[in-house]
Amino acid sequence: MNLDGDYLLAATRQEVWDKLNDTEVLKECIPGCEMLDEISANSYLATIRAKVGPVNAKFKSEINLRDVNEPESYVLSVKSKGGAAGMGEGLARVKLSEQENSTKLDYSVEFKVQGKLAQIGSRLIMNVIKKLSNEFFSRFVGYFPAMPDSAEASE
Amino acid sequence: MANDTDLTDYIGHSVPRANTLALLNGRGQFVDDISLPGMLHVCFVRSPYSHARILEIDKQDALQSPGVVAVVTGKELLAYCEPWRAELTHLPPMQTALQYAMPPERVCYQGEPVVAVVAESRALAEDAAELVEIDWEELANVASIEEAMQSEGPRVHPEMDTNLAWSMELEQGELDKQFSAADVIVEQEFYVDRQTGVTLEPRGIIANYNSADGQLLLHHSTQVPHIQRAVYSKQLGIKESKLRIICPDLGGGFGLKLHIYSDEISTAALSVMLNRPLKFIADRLESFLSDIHARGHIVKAKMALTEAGNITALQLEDVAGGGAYLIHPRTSTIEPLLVGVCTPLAYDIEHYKANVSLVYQNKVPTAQYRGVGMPVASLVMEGMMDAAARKMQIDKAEIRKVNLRADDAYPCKSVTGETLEGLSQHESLDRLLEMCAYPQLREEQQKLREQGIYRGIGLVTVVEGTSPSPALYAAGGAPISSRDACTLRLESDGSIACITSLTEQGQGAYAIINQIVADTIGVKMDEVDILMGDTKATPFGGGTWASRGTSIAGEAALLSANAMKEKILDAVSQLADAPAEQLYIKNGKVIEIETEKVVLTLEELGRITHYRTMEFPQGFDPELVVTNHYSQRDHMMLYANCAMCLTLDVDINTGQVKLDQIWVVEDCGKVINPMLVDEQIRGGVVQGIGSALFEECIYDEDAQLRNGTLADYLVPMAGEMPDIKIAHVETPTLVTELGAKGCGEAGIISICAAIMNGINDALEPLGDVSLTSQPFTPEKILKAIGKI
Repeated sequence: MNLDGDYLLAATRQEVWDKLNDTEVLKECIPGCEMLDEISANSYLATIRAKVGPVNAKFKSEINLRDVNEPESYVLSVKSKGGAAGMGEGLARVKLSEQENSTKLDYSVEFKVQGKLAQIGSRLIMNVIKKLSNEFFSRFVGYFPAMPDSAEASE
Repeated sequence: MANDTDLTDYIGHSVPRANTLALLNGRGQFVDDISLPGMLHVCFVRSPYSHARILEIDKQDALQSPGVVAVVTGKELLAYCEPWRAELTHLPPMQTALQYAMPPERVCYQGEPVVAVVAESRALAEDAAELVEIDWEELANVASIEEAMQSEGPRVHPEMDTNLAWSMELEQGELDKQFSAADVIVEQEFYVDRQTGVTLEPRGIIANYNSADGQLLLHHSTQVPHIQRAVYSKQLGIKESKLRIICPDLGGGFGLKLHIYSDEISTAALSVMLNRPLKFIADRLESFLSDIHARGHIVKAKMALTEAGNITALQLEDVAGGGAYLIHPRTSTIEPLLVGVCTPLAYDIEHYKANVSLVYQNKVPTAQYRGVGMPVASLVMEGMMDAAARKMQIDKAEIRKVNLRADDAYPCKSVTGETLEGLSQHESLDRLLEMCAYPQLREEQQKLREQGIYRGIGLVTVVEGTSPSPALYAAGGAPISSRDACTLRLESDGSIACITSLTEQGQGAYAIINQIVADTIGVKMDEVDILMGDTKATPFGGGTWASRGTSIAGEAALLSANAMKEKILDAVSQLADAPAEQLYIKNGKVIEIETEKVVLTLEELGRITHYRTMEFPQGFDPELVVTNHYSQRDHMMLYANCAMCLTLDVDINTGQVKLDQIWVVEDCGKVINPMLVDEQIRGGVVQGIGSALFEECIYDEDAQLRNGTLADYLVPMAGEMPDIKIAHVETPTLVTELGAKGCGEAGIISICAAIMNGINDALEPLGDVSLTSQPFTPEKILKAIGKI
């Protein structure tokens, strides 16, 4: 399953990059994030609580950054284990490009789920992932001044 | 029935069933309604992967969770339940894998249970199950039938060289010669997706082991208590005499509740381990993952015909997707076996070859589900008939008439060696064509076509295998009884206790036995009370499967009722000093034939028999208890026949199919209760509407089920049910006194093919369109006609 979109942020590329790499900021932005620790360079452990239809679970997630090309792009891979709820795996490509007075953030996500999460159907999962990404970005956008024309997203 | 209040003439009449009132009043008792003192609840941690190795299980957090009594892994349960290998030895060799109650090392399908959590409530057990930490190593999986067949690539069971579980070749006649001499050759490939059973009441078990006396009592939602007891006894190491299975009310079986399930047998083993009563009820999400699935076939078929439309040869190749294991104790091979055996049964075909096989996949096992292979056999055969009719421009009723055996051709052997004892296919088809006014249907179709309405007429003539002999399963070593029995006992008030090995799933078994016993003895139906589903109380028997209840358990009931009648008359003749042959029973009264005088009532006989035995002559002690067994051993199956026609409309813009009317003519031999036969037919038809139009288990490339909820997996609803008109032809079987054959699967066997044929018939004006992939969804229809 795939999901992509972009956001315009009223900040320089370096400023956006720094926030994207700030564990405190990420912890605040990831919905349901109860813990986020950097365990080594570009490697994190997180605990995230999420509800997908009837499945309510705590996901232990390993997050790794690769192909890091500061301040332009990285690939973020996530492996989440939710016990009886099943597991999820995702790959997010994030790209920052400089615009006039702003930075454009493009993202594309590929993910797959297994176990109970898969069983309850892509219909639910897709909406949940969309909702979670919208929540993430709406919080993330809050770290920057509002865009003059408030056109923050064109997904 | 006439108004004569003394009449007890029930056989052949639509008598309402007595045991449904409790269900209507909300007083049914299902396994989940039962609660035992000290009972705990079991919940299972199931594999999220379709194929993975279990590296480590950390149950510490789960054990600390409130209300938790035990957290048990597959390794720990090994000491309480022997693993098994499903196999039937009378068929070509099977490649079979060892199965555990819960696998100690490796899971083979998504949803396979790996850890059991036992707690004071189901909710607490579920909470704790979420805390069980498992380290997995994901393994390469086999999802589709095509992948399973590849010579290279992943194996479901690494110890095997291939994923082929079983294969068989059936061949008769000179195929090559017939194909090279054929006027016309038709070829089609059929795809039948997986579906599942969706019983209203999910699977469930309460296991209560008592170490003080070594008895294990199971309250179990099963169709086959004695068969389950034999397998549980062997795997758990508890003597059959110490293992009692009680089946309370059952909310649907359909073959789904015939098999050994990991979660259920684990619950029994855990009860022995913990010496406590335990309950496990599958919830709906678990049911989708762990109930057997059914079907899953790719069939290639090729047929040769003469210019006149006579079939000269048929060849088919069926590969069925079996899932991760052969189901125990029946194995999953009977589904493809019956495709091979039953496909050519309906027609006079002399040259035939079938290669049928079953492959392993990392999916839940497929197994016996209503119709077992026969809905696929008829889909193929009837699909080929219509394809030939289309190609040769022959009417679809005509091509069937040309190829059906004459009604006086019986008994005869089919090309696959089956004895067909007596079928009425021409008579049934003629009745059907008259009932549906076939020529007018075709005229109407023509008119509707001119108005741009895509009306289709689907016609099929099928043969249904029922009432198997021991040759089908037990000959291969499986503990599957094809025998049934009935015990009758005269109570002290003259009423009759009837104890049968048959079981009730809602199909009306209770009523049928009630009718046969009351009618045969000559008492009112409410004088006969029936006990079923208790291995400690009932005689041994096979229970409910393969449309055998009426024909086999009904025959046992008839034999017992006849014997009871004789015993009653003999006892009365001792009291009344009249010869037994001069007496008969009418509405609970023993009457002298000549004088029409009441000699004694059964009520008085009961009192004398049980309390005042001194009234009998010295030396005579009445034994008013009888048990008779019956097992059908004359033929592998008793074959019934069914002809069906339907009309439907296809909306070529949306791909929606709207069923209009369905007509059925069924010959299941002697009809005991026409209303119940009609209910069986209608139930099968509606279930088959699900197969044909809606139901499919959608898996992704990781063999993960994507639609395992009732929101995503569609089943037929009231709105999809058209009017179903049913008529009967009665050709009694000669192997029993009762004369009944089975009727439980005719509906589902006929309807899928009838709907497919109806859709293709409707789309004929659009050119060479042939849908052969079940279910026939709007998407597939729109693709076939090039709309998407």
